[in-house]
Amino acid sequence: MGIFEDNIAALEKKYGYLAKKIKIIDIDNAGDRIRVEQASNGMEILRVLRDGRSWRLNSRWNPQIAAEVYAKRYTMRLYGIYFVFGFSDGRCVRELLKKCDDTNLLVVCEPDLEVFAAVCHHFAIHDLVEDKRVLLCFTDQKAEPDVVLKQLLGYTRIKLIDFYILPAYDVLYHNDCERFMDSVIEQIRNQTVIRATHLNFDRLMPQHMLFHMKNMISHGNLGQLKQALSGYNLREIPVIIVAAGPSLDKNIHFLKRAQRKAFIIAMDASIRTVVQAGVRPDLLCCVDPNCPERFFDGLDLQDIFWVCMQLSNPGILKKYAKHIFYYGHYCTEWNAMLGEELGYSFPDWSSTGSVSTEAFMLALYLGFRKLVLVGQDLAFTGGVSHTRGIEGALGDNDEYIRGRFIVEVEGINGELLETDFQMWYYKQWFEKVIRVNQGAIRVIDATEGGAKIEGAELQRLEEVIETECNETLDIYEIEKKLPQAFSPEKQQELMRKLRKTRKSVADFEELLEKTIAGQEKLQASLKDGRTTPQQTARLLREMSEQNDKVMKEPILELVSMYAQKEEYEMGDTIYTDENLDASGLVEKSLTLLKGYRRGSELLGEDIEEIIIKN
Amino acid sequence: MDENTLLETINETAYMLFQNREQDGLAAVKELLTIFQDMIKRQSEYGIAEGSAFAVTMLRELLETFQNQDMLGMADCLMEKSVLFVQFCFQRAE
Repeated sequence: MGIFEDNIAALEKKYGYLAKKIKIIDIDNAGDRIRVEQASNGMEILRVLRDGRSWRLNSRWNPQIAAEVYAKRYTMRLYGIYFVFGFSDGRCVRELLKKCDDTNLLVVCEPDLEVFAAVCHHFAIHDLVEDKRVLLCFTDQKAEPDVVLKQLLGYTRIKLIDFYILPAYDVLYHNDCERFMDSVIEQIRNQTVIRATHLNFDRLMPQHMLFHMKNMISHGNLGQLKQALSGYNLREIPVIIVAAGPSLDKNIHFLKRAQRKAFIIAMDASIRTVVQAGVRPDLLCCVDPNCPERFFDGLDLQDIFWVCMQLSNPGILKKYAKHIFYYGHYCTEWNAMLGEELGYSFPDWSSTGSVSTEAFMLALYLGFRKLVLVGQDLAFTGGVSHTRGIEGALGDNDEYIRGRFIVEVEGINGELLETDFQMWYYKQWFEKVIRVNQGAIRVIDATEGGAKIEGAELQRLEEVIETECNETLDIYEIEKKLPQAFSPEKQQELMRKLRKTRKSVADFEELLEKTIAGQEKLQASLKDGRTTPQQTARLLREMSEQNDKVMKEPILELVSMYAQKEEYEMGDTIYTDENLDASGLVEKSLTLLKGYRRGSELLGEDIEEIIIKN
Repeated sequence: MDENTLLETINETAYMLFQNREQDGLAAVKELLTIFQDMIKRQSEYGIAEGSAFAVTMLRELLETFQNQDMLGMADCLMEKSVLFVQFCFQRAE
């Protein structure tokens, strides 16, 4: 096989979609822009033409030495993740890799797919493609770097990341480079927010999850609705997402005109205002784990179709919700089992953190491409926090605002408005999704107030209804016809499987007891100082193997939700504290294992209480 | 600056540029540009009239790559041309 065939064969194994793309790129067409030329020492190098100037992507003097010099700059740390912007001919990546061990990962982002295609034709890079420590991503794959980053950057590793930029790439691909770095920074910010949320909600999150794992068995899911709507041209039907911002009071009275002509999604706090305006939404999205009951108090919501996920407040659902469409990630095994039973993937997307952003994602999931935002102020317009409809459910307005971390944003009319960090963060989220989906979706901000959302068209709601809501489609009627997701037999089977998790927890507790006992013994012998350095190294290796066994248990995904504090503490110290000795390592490991033991006890109790007894 | 020190500076600067250490590399090239310009001005002192075309080409390339912040272009120019220029100048001066 030639160089190209070898490279493609390696790509096909790991990046099938990429191999397909590379194969159809005609590099002869890119010939004027991308050329391969000879360096002084006879090696090949790439040259890119940009704005009439020629840029080499490696040294003309000596590409190999240049790559070695480049890699010499960096020191790799245990467990470090390195984001490398630029692949070039692969030489720099190969040199960096020589400095990595098995705990490291290089995430290499190549902004120019045609450059990469040319590389595949001229340079043997299959070793890099196949290497488990290398992950390739491409900025022209739209959201792909974000997806990769979300999978990679757990909180425990955010202190271990670094950026490397190959020469010429920061100048030639300046905007891509900034976007790539922003994505990493955003992911770090996300992880910090997630950590705070997890620690805040503590036991509440897994308890809610267990409730929903059981409850969903006798309800529907969003996949059913997606299938039912697949025959309609949803690109032309607007989805109106109603949030509870203060500007909602200005135009809520128009919303009734959109009924049966648009898909109306109300978000928890907005439901009072929506119902009081005589509108029955097609969906009510309720995802906040601490959603106050006063949002719903006194309303008859039995005919409403609710959308819930793993964190939604069970107390509210028990009392008010009769029909629920579920989505979300419960635990990997459970989601996989649901997928098997359903014959299609259980609907799930990475949690976005707020009800507004979740509603936006669910609209995209269902296939809508014309999204209208109402009541989405993302700011305290006129010094008011929410629509009047919530009737003080969040306490005194001024006190509520004073209690927030205030930042300023530009309003739709160019004025400065106060907002809080959370809403500022969601504004960034909307802007990014609009940017990434440019040309594929149309977002109309019909809030008529609040913060300016970059990329969204501004229109009045009345105008939107007149111009965009032209076709009649009664989605509520379609929803009414959908059956429960599972037959009675399947429901029984799923319940049986769910009850079996109690046994998995008991088995896991047994494994933990044994592991903890072994490591306590190891700790005692290390404290005695009787072990030789060789024995210590062997015992630590054994400890690592025992921990690996614990980490591979599927039930750990649920248990660890009860041991968030210990896991985050572990992330704060164990990877980054270079002064930890053997005894310190064992102590950290024991703290985590004991956290899991406590977590298993709590999970066992909650399974008994939520799944088995009720 | 003697020949060895200057060659060492060129080498170090090229390394900074290969390592994409933008600020350090650009500052070092800026200093070298001044040194090379000065050397060319004093070409009669070094007796390098016959090498002046090469010197000007080198200087022009270094300046162009510097203005475009082309790290690899600057590094290559230093390693391929500036080193030769300096060696030539000092040999003739001897």
